[in-house]
Amino acid sequence: MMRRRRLERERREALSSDLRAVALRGRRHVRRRRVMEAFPAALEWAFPLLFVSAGGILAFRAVLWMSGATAPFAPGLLVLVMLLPYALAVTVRVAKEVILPVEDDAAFGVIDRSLHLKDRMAAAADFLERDATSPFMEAAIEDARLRLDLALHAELPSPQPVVSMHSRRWGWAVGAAALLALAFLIPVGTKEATHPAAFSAPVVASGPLSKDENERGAKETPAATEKEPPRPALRTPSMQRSSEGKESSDSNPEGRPRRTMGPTKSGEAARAGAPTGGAEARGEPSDQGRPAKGAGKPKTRRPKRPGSEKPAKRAKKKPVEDPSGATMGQGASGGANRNPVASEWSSKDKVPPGVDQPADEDEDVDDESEAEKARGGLQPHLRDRRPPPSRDLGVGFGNQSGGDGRGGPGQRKKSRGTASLVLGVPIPDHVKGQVNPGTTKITQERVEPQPEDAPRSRAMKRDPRKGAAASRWPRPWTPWTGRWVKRWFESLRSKEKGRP
Amino acid sequence: MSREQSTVAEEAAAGFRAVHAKIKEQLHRAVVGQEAVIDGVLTALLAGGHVLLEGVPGLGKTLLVRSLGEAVDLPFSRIQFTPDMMPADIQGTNVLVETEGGGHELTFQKGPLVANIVLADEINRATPKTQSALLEAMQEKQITVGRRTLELTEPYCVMATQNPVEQEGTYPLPEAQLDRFLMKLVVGYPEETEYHEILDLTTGTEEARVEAVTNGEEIVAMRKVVRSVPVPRVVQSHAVRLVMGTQPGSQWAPAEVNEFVLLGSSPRGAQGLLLASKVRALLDGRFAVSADDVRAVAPDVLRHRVMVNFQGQAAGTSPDDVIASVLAAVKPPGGAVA
Repeated sequence: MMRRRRLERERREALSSDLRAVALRGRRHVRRRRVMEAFPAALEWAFPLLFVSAGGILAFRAVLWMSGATAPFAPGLLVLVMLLPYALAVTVRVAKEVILPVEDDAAFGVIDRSLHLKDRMAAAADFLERDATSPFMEAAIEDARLRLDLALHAELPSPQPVVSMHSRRWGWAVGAAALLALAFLIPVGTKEATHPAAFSAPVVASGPLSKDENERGAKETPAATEKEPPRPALRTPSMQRSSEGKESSDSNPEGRPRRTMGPTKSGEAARAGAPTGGAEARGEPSDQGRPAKGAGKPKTRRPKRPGSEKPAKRAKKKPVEDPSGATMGQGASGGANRNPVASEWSSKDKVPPGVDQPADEDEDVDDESEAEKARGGLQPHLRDRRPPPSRDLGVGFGNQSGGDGRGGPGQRKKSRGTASLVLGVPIPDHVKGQVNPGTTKITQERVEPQPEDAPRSRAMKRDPRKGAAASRWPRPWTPWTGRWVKRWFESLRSKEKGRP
Repeated sequence: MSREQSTVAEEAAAGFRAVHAKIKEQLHRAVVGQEAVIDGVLTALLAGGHVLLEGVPGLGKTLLVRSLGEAVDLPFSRIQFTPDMMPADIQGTNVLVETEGGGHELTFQKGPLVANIVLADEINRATPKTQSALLEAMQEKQITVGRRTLELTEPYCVMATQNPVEQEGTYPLPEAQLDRFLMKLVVGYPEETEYHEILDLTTGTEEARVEAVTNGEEIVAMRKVVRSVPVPRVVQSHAVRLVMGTQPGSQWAPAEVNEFVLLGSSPRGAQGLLLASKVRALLDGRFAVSADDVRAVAPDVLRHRVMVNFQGQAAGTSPDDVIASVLAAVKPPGGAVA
């Protein structure tokens, strides 16, 4: 029995040591994984440092350039100096992650997850440490023992570095590269090149000049170019244009048209070289500020095209109106022998058979609005040869017009009074063939509900309330107060008893 | 000593798996496909919990529960819930009966709740008053009518169904009652191949017969086996963190939970996670629960315990989305493996 127990204890100790080895392996793997995860993150994290270093190099070289001194270091050394703090920061950051302790749970967990052991190692390590074990715990330990070889020797998947290219910090790296490039563009070390003009001007080609360039160089004296640098800001566009015209005429003796890029009249200078359009190029003032072409001329109405289809179409579509017997304020007396029942609206409602008229077409309205547009909305309807609309609303009170609110022969109702506001007063529609306002359109807007902020209940520990919930007024009487008041009233009554 | 102990556990686990396989085989005689739902129902039965089945009509929910009652040879009763149903209709009531001597006496007439497997069909059609009559039966395994308290016999399992589409005229289950269900299983449509099997099975002359392969005592013993499966501390911590992850404001809650969740899971959710995980570990041939078991059962166990707030509903976030975000945020021990 004792021997059996001893054997059992030895087996357990052997298993414990194996599990410790598994945990050690797991720790190493966790650290390796941390390095792989932390390294790209640290590289990104330290990009601002790179930017600052590059800025420093740029400032350093700019100072050298301004002072005219020569560079004391080689460019490669400067880059090394820039990278040194960056590398140091990355190293510190990665080391900080790596030296963090790895707990047993994480160590066993990474082995269990990597080898699909379903937490068998973690369970066995946990149950071995417990004082009392159940049959299922023993079975779990035995189960783990069977898979120890796998846990100790199987190859673990190597962790892959994860680089996030979407990080904003990459902007710092790009900025650092740009600053570095700018820094090395500064010509430090050559005295001739330190002149500002030499820095800003493009490099002059050292090869032989072309024929045109030779000619241009001969016309421009060197003294003039040195004493009077070009001042384009002080030149007016007209001056510029005139000089451009001269230049173009001078430099283009063959009269070949050439485009210039002036701010206004662009392209007109091209015609300056042409034999016929030479006058235009000579300092013609700009058109800006002038009234538009033809604005001062009397406005002539555009004549309608004889072949225009609109009147014919209208004539075709518009049925012959049957004037009713009712005058309805139009002043027409010829309707006396006509049907007095047929009103103007009912006659308009009549659509001759065979005439297919869509409900949404109303050419009369369109034409009127077009006519109003053409008149600019200023001139009266002289063209229509109709009397102007009366200002009289014609709402009754002895008015002979019939009180239809129309105020004239026009078809459109002009009533602006109460009658037009009162619901139930039928306002005839202007759409022909329909007594109602036309096809009803219902536009439904589909809008997705948007979330709004609302207070949420948060799970939190609440301590019992301390102190009074609130002050109450009037305060309840204490027993002492009650007795005192009672005695006072009793004494009052006793005095009253003595009175007659 | 330890060898003997482990042998006992291995035999118990093997017996558990054998009975489970037999029940499952019988269920597959009547129900085609729905593997996950069958596993979930059996898990709840063996873990000692109740199940809420959600699915449109005609997917075999009732057939599944009735077949389960036949396979485990337990008294089975079905309650079709309606809005006019009263608690006495399901619990039972005292009725006046005539005695042999010509007299009368009040006798307790048991309702359909007094059974071992209860199918509460369309539970959300009943009024809250009737729904709450189920609470005592589900949690305390007893019913009280007047002065009489009746102990319900183990194993006791309520399997309720509800239709997710017809919500008009229904009474959504209160949180207190939802929390008492171990799992909420979503029953989906069958696959195309399964349709052929269903049609062959149901439109022919032969009728699918489910035989009883176990009994109530064996189910109770299996429940004890489930309870004896140990849980390593690290796995228990993981289950706790998952449950805390569903609670807004907790340290394990991801941003989606803080934004979209009104109410997270209660500690009952953690209990449910571990019980269901134990069944899964046994069926997988292991003797201890792993974090993978906990993560696998988490959607079914936590789905009905997470309440999405208005913002979440407006954003179209479902409880399953919330649980997925919690599972992504709370890493298992050792972290996720690529």
